[in-house]
Amino acid sequence: MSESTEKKMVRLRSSDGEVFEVEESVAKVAKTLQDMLEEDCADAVIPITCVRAPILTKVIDYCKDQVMISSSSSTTNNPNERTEQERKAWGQKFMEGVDSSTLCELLVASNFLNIEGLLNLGVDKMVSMIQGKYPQEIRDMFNVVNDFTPEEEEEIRNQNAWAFERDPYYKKRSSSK
Amino acid sequence: MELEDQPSMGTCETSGDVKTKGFGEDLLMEIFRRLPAKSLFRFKCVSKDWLRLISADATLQRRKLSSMTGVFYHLNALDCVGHSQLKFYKYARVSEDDDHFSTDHGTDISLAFLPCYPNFRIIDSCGGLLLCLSGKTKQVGLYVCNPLTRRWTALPKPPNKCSLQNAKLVLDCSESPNLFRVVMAAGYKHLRRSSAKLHIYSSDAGKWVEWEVVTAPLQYSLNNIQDAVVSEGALYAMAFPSYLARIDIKERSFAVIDLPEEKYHDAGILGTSGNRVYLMWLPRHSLRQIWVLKDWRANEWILKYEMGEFGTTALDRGGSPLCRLPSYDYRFQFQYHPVLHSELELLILRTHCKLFAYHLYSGKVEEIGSIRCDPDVSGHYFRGSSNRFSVFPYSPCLDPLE
Repeated sequence: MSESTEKKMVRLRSSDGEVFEVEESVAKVAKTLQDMLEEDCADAVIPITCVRAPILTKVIDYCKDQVMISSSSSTTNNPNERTEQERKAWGQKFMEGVDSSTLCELLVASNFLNIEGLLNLGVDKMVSMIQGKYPQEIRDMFNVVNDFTPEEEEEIRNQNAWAFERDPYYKKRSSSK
Repeated sequence: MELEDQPSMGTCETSGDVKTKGFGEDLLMEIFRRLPAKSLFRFKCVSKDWLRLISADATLQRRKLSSMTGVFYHLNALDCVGHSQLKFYKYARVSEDDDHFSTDHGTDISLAFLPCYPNFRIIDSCGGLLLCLSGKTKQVGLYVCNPLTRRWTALPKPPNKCSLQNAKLVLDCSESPNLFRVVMAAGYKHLRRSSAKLHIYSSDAGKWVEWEVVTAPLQYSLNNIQDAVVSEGALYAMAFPSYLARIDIKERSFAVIDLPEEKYHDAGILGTSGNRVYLMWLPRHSLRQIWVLKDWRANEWILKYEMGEFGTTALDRGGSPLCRLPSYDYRFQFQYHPVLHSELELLILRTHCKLFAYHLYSGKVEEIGSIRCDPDVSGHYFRGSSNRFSVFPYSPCLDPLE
């Protein structure tokens, strides 16, 4: 806290050329950037070549929040410290309204920048989005090409038939009333 | 701008469609690890890459499946008219983690793939396999099936005069995951004082063979192996007056083990969990002690759990969800045998309408299913079988019957 008078700024450039100026502490939430900054490359503009501006904005939002929590918890009065539940709720809110393609980009970004917390949030969100879906829905979502022949696909389907079943008999009955 | 030459930056691709590119296998694996089992196995047919990723990691598959561990349990639906009796099985999952009980206990393990469905009974379960008896009077037959892969095999016609209901399924993973044996006691005609006749089917031989077990000097006859339990390829059964008989099916040997005390014979119930033999002592329908057989050669038993008067200390030990069991059911409960789960150290208990898992270590109780069906839907109540509580522990496994 003693050095807080002079805040070092870091500039980040997104893949579409937009430059973001953030405090060093915010950038350092990303492990990848932290490593680079510690190697003392601070005054350059750091190009984040695989992250577009809207995604980078979201990532920076997350990092800022993390800095706010950690700095406030070091003081005696910590109004921003969260309980487990609050953290969960915050994470849900942060991810609210994120669609699948944004989420993919966000995951790639947090994986690349090595932001564990954001990666966790993203993976959880992704899991909740895709679980229970059928293979074709997944292919559409991830732009994956089905490279199985119909016979091959059928065989895998048969081997894992239990996984393709909808609700069990008794559930159908009770829900039909 | 030296930075741009750094290899870490170079690996990241710029592309118009970030959706697939840059979405590396490490990210996918992270997602796979957190997916529920059903979705994971379903996604095997998304693409060859996905199949490869999911199948390559055997531990991933195994761990996912173990989260589906549970019990098949039996419901008897008595028709209003009273003519037909519909046999019905449900599957309920138990929570692996004592601290976080799952809220969803239903899964989609159906037995509708069996050729004898719906006229069948589950006779026994062992690991990932079930032993079923087809219920049609003219076509009585035994089936062994893997409910997960839906593979089944029909056993050749067993010798006459065997009581099929008492057949036992014996798996010994130390041999081979695909090898199973089915054991039946010969009927009462073959009863002798110091020997007994067993019929054993072995899946590698594909036929029934007879084995005369010499139980001398013990005057013990194996007319009923219904309450026997299976551990590491051997059957364990209570023997008069206070012994545990160990019948090794693989080695074809017979041994007698002393019970910790004579009193345990009368009110003792056997179980296995994690390949160990457990002895539950339930005098007057109240669970008092649980012993574990540490070493059968040395007659070594360990008292693992001790409960006070049932309804107080037994379930209250962990200090919690006791209140979820309606109080009037306390005594009623153990009129049904508690069943020890073969995979996890927990007891399956029931009241007249509900099924509970009692996690022994933590003392916590979770409700996992209901016995009674909604009368509005079916027009009648489902009732659990009255005398013997038909619960069959099951831990999904892909290997057997492959």
